[in-house]
Amino acid sequence: MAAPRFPLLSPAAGPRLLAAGLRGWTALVLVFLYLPVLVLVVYSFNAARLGVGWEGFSGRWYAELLQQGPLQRAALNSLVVAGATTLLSVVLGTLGAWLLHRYRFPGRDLLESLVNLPMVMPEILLGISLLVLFALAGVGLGFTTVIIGHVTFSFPFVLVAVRARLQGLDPALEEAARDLGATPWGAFRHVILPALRPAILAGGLMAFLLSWDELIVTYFTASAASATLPLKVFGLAKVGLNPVLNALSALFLLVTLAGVAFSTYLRRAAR
Amino acid sequence: MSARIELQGVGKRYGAVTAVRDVHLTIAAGEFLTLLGPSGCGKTTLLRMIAGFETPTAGRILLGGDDITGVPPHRRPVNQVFQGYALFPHLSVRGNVAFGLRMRGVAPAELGRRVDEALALVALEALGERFPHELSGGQRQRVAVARAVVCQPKVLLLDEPFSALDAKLRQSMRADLQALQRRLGMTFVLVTHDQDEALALSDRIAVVNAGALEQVGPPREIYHRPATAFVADFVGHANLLPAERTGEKVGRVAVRLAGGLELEVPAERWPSGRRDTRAVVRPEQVVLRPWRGEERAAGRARVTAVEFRGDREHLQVALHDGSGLRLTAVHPGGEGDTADFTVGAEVTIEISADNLWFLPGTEARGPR
Repeated sequence: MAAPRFPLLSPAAGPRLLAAGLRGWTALVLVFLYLPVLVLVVYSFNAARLGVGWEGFSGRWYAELLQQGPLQRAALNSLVVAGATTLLSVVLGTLGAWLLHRYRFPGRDLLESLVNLPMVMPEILLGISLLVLFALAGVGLGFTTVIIGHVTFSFPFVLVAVRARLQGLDPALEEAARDLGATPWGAFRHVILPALRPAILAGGLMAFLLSWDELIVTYFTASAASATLPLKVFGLAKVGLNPVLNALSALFLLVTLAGVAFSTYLRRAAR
Repeated sequence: MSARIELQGVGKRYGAVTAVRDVHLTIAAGEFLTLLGPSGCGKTTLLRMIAGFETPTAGRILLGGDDITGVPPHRRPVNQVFQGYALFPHLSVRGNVAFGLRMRGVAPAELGRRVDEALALVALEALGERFPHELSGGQRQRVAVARAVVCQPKVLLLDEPFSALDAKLRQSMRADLQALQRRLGMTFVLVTHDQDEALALSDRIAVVNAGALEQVGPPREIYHRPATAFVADFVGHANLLPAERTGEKVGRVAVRLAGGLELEVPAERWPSGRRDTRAVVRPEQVVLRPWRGEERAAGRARVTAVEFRGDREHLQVALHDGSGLRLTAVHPGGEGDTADFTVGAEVTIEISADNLWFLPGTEARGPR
């Protein structure tokens, strides 16, 4: 056999080229996904007030953030709303999952599909219908209405997570607890609930993050006093881009990343 | 501490399906009773009714003379070792064992002492801080037992406690469980489909079939004197041969078995007043000899299958009398004489008359 004319194309060259191509493509996708965020964070440290030119490193926009009373107020509102939403979603979602899992009653299947619906419902629809409902009921917009709005689409996420965990749970566990002297509530409290903890925490975190960056539903259900951070940022951005917003968004991102990191940690711990 | 259980006409129906019908059974205090039957026979439902997870639709359950039929499980002085053990995954071994005492509000000092005692009982003192997923199958079973007995129940229920273990471990865990029961003097009710387990462990066995009791008695009686064809066949292997009474002598009855074998059996073994019934011939009661060309037609057969099991071999033989009857025989496995019993070998069978048992009941039981 003659010497190969194209020594570059050895039998292993095909797979190697493919691997290199895939690696390049992956890098491209990641850049596409994260470059805007990176630019935002970098520019939050830019000393320039206007334009995109780099005029040196500065922390002044973060310092200025401390002077902005309304923004701080909105951040606090966001925390209150997200906190309350998380708490309510966890309670509703866990109890709902337990009910659907443990009891058979007429209309159970229908209820189950209805409960999942808000997860996929367009937020604009949810926002408008909630606004109409509150108007009809004569409820003034405020924290309560925002929280109700957020819980509506957040608690199904907790329910689904807890439900999945329940389905993987040995049904004999509850009976074992009853057998050892626990009342039905005692069995739930001391055996089922601890077994559900990872799912509840993961679902709760999801609810927190969903509420934390929700804009549309908040837009329809909030009053001026209960405006959350995304709503405030949205309002300010319409007026004109402002380096303070970059700093704010960077901080906002930090909270979200902390949440994601925590949820990753939880998933590791559950295994 | 242990107590007697009485099931009085207990039944359970799910809609049109009857899972358990009219069970009358008294389990003595300190007794080791096994509910033995095939899957779906209702034995587990019976156990669940004693535990309180199911409510009977008929009859009453008494524990130490008190009616507990409607008492919820958490208020019954009865504990269970679950199939698959159902250990609480979020609690350590100690936490699992302490659970029942915590639910009953036992003071911390006494709780600690009793948990230590229970762990010592199953030789798990060293593993108290481990979690269930860090234990072997055998250790898990011991935790499940400790978790139940620490509550000092009047009756301990065991639902297929060996099914999750491999064969070797099963043997040693069996011995441990039996020793534990003797030591505690506690009433044990075991549910199993494994006849070996039932025969090895029980004071008495209750054979359950299609939701009803077939026979209740000590293991030897169940094995050697089965009351029904079902019991004969389910507990050990049995060749059921049609048998006919042909005459009577002092203390003995002359019997002709299918296949033409004529025997004289002790009169007490033949159901009085019956002309025919079926003989329960255990494989080990069938003695095979190589056929040496004798004229005698009775008992001649041909080997149709040989199954080697190490310490013994199981042989299938077909009788030559035209009835087409097949028998299973057990032959001690050896290296030397196997040549006589290869497939196709001509043999004569003999059945020892003295230990033969005849079914006392009417032929097949009617449809239920």
